[in-house]
Amino acid sequence: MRKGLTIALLCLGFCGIAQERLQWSGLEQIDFTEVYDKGTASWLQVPQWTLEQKANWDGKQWQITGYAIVLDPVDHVYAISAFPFSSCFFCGAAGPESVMELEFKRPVNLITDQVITVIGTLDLNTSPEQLPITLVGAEIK
Amino acid sequence: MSLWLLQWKRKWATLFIVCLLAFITGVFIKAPRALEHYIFHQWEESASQIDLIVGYKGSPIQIVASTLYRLENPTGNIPAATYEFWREHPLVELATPIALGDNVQGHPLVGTDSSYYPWFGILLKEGHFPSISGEVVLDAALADQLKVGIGASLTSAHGSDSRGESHEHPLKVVGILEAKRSADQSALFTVPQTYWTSHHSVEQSYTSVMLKLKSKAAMLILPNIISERPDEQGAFPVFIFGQLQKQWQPTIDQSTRWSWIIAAGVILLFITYISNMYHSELNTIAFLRNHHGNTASIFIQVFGNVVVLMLLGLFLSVMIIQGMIGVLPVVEEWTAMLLTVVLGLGLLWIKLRKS
Repeated sequence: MRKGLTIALLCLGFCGIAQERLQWSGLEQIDFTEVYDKGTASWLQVPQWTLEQKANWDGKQWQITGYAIVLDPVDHVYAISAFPFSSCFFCGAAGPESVMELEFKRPVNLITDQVITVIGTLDLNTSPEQLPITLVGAEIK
Repeated sequence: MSLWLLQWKRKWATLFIVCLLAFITGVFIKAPRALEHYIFHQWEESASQIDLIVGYKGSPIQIVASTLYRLENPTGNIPAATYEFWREHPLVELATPIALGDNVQGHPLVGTDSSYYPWFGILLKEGHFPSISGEVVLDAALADQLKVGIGASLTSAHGSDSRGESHEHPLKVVGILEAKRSADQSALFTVPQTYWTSHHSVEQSYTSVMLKLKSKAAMLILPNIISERPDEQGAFPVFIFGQLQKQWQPTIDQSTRWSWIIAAGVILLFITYISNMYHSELNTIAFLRNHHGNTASIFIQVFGNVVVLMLLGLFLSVMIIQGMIGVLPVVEEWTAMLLTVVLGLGLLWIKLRKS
């Protein structure tokens, strides 16, 4: 009985670690380099991940709180932002690290600026065609 | 004459009221979602097909309203180089140019290329899509309305009013379409060259470019790029509807609450009316009891027509709303309707058993 209880408590402890809360301010340390696209004569930003960032974040379960941004209400595609829509990064108030793409396990219905806490696995991107981070297998807490 | 037929003949007015009340109950149960669907979903669906519209510097709402729904005048013209830039952009999967500003008998004339039609699920019923300047295609219903067929000649005019200055170059109908969106059903389509010819344009230009992006995340990357480009305005339909939804949501929620309160009142009225029908049938019930009728057979003979008309009323409400706005009831709405039927008939059954 005691053994079982100890194992259960240990498991709970691991779950707690697995779902550590990620702070938006912690993402401000991400560095970006600008890549020039000759075809369109424009610059695109590519994140440069450090070994430490990769070790701490990539493939790890985290939870984060922010404002929902609806990208496609029909196919249920959403992003989460550190700031409300009116001041999110593309309005000039913050950097691309202040927004994260969400890939939900199951379709959810959200409205823009709804405050949500999501749990999922961080996927660090290196393509200029994606946001720096995607939270995969996401679930609303 | 059987008792069943006699009941129909004797109580037709009462039965009509039962059917009408069941219909109103069904309508009110579905009203909240029908309202939400009417305000948001139809627009949202067509808006979510396009990730970004780039137009001349101006109001994003005006760009979406003019390009997608032709409810507004365009903000201005953009050069063909802008279209080329976006067509080649690495984040863009598909770019379709749009030229607007003229009308044919009050219906907008849309100058676009062949990528527009599959994008919005427009099918060709007859003829062919426009390929050279002056060729136009239109929806079959609009062709009937304008009384034109393949080979017919039409004239376009400046602006959205048919009384505007007419162009000297005639248009020729070369195809009949089957369009899905109401905005497409009431428009005529041609190639952008028609605009350049009729306006004697030296430079090639459009009013906007519709873009489908390689990923939805690109919608959050491109605004910074657009802001660096002079005289261009990006309009993201989904963001605009997101903002509109936010502003309208409290009103929708309030209306939903009131609709459910009214629906509950109508359900109560309906159930009371049905249960009171029992009292008007006391003599018939007593007669049948004296002739050794059991509860089930009395129920079917006396109230069978009530069941039929109750279900007919609810069915009609579902069918009419489905036909009007295309939404079938969801689980909660079916449950509310089922509960109404069960409560109404249950009360009749209980009273009958006690008699």
